Amino acid sequence: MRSKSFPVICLITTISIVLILAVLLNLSGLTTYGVNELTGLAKLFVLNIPDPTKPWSSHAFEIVTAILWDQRGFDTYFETSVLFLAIVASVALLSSYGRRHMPESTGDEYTTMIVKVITKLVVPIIAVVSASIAIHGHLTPGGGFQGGSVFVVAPVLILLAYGSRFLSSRGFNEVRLLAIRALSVTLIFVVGLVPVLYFLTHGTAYLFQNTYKPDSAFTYPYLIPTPIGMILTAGSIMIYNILEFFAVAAGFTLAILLLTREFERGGKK
Amino acid sequence: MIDWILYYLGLALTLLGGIMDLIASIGFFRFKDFYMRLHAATIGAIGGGFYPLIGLALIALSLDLDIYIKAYISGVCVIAAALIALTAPAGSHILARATHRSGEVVPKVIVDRIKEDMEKGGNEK
Repeated sequence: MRSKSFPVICLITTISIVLILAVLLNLSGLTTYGVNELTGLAKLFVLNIPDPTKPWSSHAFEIVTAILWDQRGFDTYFETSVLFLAIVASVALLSSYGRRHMPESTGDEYTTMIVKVITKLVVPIIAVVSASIAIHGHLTPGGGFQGGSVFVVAPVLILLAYGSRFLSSRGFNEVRLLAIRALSVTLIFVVGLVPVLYFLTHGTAYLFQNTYKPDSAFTYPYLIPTPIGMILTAGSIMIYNILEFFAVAAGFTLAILLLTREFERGGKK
Repeated sequence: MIDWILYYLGLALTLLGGIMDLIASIGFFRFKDFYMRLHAATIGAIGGGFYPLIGLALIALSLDLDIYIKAYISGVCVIAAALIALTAPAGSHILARATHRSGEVVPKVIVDRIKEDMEKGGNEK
């Protein structure tokens, strides 16, 4: 299969693809689909969500996150619940309750000093970047789930470089992580239920409502004045993003911690 | 004057990165062994990732733009370059070490000091 001429063929193919793409870019700009014209639904979202003068606005610049937590917030809550149930199932399968206690690894037999030092440098950077992705979720691309998924890289690196004892001895045990996860998911639902309480006492409001609507005066504060200037929180979207960040980070950390322990046990009962 | 020096230094670094990437891809095809191919891949990561990013930072500094935009672009480039320079060598180091210790690939070498040490009973760190 592999002949002497195989690399030459690969090289010629690559160069010709690059040349063809360059010529196409020069001639037509590769925009034959008319991507500058939006469809009707896209136009509805793009023109209404970021514009604070429109009645159906979410007061958020990042339209994808706004749709996820405002326009279809109830749906997203159940997606989070499905993930929660998956984490609970993995705990039920892999939990170490009722098993013989095994000494937890410190990672010395797997890694070297080089990897440990680099991990110590990189982990804080990952934590800060993930938190900024979650907190800026209503302004820049990202959000709670994305920030939490980025954060999970830090525990993975620690588990690979230092072993599971490093996390366990610093309070990252199963009970606490599951408690953070359950508390965050519950708080998301409570924040979504606040408009219903308003509906019972004052007037019209909708489940998982964010800002005011034409027939409903209920609104979360979306523009908060502070001594250094106005802060745009986009109503409940920022609260949902932060809670979802904690939920996803704790849940995935728990799943990976349990899997690493199973790996260190080496298949023994 | 300083703008021209920065601009052409950045261009030279970017060009060097392209040449390094070409060398790395040819080496990835032509080397026979796992360890030799890992060596070629590391050339691609450091030479083809680190140098062009530093070059882009210099080019961005030399452009006739607002100082905030210049500082933003070159800062992002320098941070990305620093992360690549920190993590890529550590990653290839632990990959080669794990492969050697698991015995999946036996290196074709004349002298294997790590193997001698492990046979003597010492846990090489």
